[in-house]
Amino acid sequence: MARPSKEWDHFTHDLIALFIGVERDDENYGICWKFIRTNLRQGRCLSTRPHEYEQKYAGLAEKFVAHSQMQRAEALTSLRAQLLETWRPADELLPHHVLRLLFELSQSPTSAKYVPSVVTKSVIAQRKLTWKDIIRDEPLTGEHWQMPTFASGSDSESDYVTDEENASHAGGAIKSTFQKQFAPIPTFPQSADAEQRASAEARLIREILHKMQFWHGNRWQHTLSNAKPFDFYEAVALAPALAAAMDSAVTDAQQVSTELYITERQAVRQTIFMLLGRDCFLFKHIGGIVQPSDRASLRHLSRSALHSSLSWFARHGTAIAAVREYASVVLTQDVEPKSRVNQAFAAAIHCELMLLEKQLRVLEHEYSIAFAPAKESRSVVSLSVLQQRLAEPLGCFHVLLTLLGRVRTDDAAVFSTSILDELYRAVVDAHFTEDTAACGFLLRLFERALAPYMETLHAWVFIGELDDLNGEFFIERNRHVQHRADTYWESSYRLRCTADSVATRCPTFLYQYRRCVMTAGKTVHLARLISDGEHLVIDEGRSLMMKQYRLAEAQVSPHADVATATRSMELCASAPSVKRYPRLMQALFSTGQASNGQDAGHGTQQSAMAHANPCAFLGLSATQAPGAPWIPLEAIIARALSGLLASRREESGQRLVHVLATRCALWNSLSALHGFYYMLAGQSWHRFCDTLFSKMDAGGVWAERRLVDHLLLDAVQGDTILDERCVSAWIRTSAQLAGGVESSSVCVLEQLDFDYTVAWPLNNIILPGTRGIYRKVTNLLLQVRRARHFLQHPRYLKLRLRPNSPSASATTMALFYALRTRLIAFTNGLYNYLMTTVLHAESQRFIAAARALIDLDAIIALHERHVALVRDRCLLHEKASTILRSILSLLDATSQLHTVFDRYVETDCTSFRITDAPAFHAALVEIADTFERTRKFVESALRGMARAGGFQHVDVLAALIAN
Amino acid sequence: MTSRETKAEEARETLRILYEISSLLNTGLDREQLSLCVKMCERGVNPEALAAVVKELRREAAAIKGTAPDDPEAEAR
Repeated sequence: MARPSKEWDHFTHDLIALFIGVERDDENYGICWKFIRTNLRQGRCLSTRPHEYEQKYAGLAEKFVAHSQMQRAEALTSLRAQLLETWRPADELLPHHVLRLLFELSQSPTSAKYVPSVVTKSVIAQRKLTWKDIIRDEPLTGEHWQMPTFASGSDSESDYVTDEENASHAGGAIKSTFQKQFAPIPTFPQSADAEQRASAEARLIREILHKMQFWHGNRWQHTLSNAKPFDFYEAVALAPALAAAMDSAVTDAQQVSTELYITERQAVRQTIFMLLGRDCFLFKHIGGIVQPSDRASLRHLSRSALHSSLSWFARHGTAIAAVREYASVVLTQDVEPKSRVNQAFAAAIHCELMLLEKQLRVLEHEYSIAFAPAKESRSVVSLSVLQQRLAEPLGCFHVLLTLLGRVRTDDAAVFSTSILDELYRAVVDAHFTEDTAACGFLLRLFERALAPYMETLHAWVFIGELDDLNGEFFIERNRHVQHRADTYWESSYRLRCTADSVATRCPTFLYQYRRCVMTAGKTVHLARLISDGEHLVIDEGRSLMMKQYRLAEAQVSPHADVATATRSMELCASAPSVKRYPRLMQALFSTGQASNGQDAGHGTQQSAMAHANPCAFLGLSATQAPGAPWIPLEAIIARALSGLLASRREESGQRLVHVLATRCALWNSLSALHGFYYMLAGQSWHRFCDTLFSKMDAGGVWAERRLVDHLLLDAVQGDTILDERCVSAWIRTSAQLAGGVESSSVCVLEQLDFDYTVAWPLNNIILPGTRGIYRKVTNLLLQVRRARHFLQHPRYLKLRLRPNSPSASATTMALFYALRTRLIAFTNGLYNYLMTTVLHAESQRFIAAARALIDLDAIIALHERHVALVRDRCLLHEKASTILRSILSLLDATSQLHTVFDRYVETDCTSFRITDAPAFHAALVEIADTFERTRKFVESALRGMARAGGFQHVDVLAALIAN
Repeated sequence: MTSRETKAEEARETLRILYEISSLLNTGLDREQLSLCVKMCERGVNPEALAAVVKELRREAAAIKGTAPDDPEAEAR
């Protein structure tokens, strides 16, 4: 800039005159003139950096303090601040130029003599302590706060906001700067009060600054606003919303600076930026790990102290970054294995991150207000205060990161179970240690992650539908079991995997209730199938039975309408997701008002809910009623689950048994089953046995499947108990009949098999193993009947004790009658024992006991026990096979007697003749000896069994045989 | 008080404060010298160059008068 030469000449002359004191005519004058002009002309006009000389003056003030020259330090700080506040030239940098000049000219200020003038004393006296002095760099606590005279009128950052007391001055200076960049600031009428005007200007400037600063930009506002409509239970709907939010919410990166000397306010701001996931120069992201910068330093903190504090934030920042990355990946990408629990868990994490972000933004706003003159502001800009305020939420995320590291991802079931288990353990631990913040945090995550799992559980327990596309639930459908198989109830649904590994696929808190859950769901499922008409399906020819059952159905009382109940369940299920599992969730997470009058049948559940302490469960120990006992969280959950599931199982079991009894004629079917296999349907079995034995006695062809089956159908026709379409009979192996066993033997009937088909789903009660025992019982009874048939043949009645034939001796006839009598006694005793003592009595007892049961599983178990008892008492157990074989040989003696009689005795209508008396006698003696020997063996064996095992029924049989 | 008088009073007040700072820093400037330096700074003179000139002039003055100048090394640096 060209300057007027006259003015320069004048300045040069004054400089020479004031500093040298020579006149124009002196030779030194010219030398000085030339020197001054050359230096001032060549001296580059470098811009003065206010911040640099602010630090230098501050350093000089500290040096005064170090030399115990407190008065000088205070004077220097106050004078400088006063100068910058009062001197407002057109060139803003002029005060800084002059201060720089003075600083350059200073010479050993600490050693010079100094006496404070009146001006200095007045400046010190006038200058009051303001908030700016305190909170720029110093918290209100600590030793450093005892030096509150730090002033910084030229601090660029402190110009963002101004003290109200100085607003009238500072506002004008700042306004002049920002008026060039922003919309013109409206002027206030001159008549307005000066204080009000200053306050309004300061507020306006602060708003402008807030808009300008990226940490209060509007771009982050939408993130929180978008979070409101998120449905966190529907992670699929959340994912696109989150992706959109992520794309649009690009953070404004702060310019990375190489600044080393920072204020605490900057450190706080940088820390908040780091926690919010934005770029900052104070922290570095290296391989997913946040590390504090070693180049930063604070005035009042040592490097180690600052690094320790920043490392604490960096450690938690790493946890937050990792958790944020996890949630983002799960919600925006396809993560294998797919798990709804994991998605809900990630959505819950995202929700918690939003809450943390909101909290950080509140802190951010609060700290910024701390620089404003708001009277209500009590914030202190301090890392230690920030650490104290964020310790709890950041600690929760640190726990969450540790939890995530333990999650297993073998498959969907293990993945979901692992998430729920880890959350459950963490919640229980936090509740046990009464860590309220962590407990609340983890409980929210647990509740939300558990929601889809509970939805599946709710659908299974209350509707009977297994809605588990990803295979997360601990119950799975067995695809190998056909829809109407007789093992449908037992095997159609099963616990996922084996008993050894089910623990890893079933959440811990549900493990002890896994079978209860499965049974309750199966019960509802079967009841639904029956109500849909998929019952009583045997074959195409069961129209008659369907008619009968439809008649029975018409007599079903209205309160037993399962279809109506099921439809009501479905209506309940069609409610919004929050209401889809109200009872279960209320039982688990009741707040004390969950009890509803609709669940009148859930007395146990309600009592459990009444006993549970929801406040303690939610970790709100502080809000607990005074004197309320502390209850472990496991106990609360266990009590709620056991009450709910037990009542649900009982209710659904009662309903299913009622449906089976009314629509499927359960009791009639069981009576028919016993009537057939136990030959309690005597009329039909008498007809069948008489016909069959007649054909066998006649020597005709009888061992043919069609013939036997036809005979059975003819016999059963018209029976009031048995259904002719359910019975069938066949020959097991006709080849053996042709070979090994004689056709006249009793044992030939072992090759006959009978079956009584029970309609689905009642056939699920009759397990395959029990059906075989039923057949054995029927076979045994048939052989006894055959033996009795042999002994009751009319030909024996023609024999006389005193023979009229010369060939027959009295001894032989006596032997014959004695043997026959013994055989009759044996067969009748055995028959009475089987039919009366065992089968009829046990059948009646079983039916009575089954009617009292309310659970299909219990009925099946009772039936199994009943069949096993019948097997043992009928000596059909494998361990009693020898005795049974001996008994059958005793029965076969009747057929031997029949054969001997046919061979040696010829009869007509009025008389008989023994063709070979000695041989006849010898045959009788042999049969009698064999019978007696075998009988004694059986008797002694049975008595031995009775003594050893305490089987009274065996003792009864032994007594019958002994007679 | 007119605005001109007000400005003059403010200028005097500023100069008093500057002089106090100058005394604290032991610059060796009197009020006239300080006022001249301020004026030159107002006219755009580089303060660093001006400080160098002032120091050199002091040395020259000491040489002319035959006395030793003050310690040129500022303690504050």
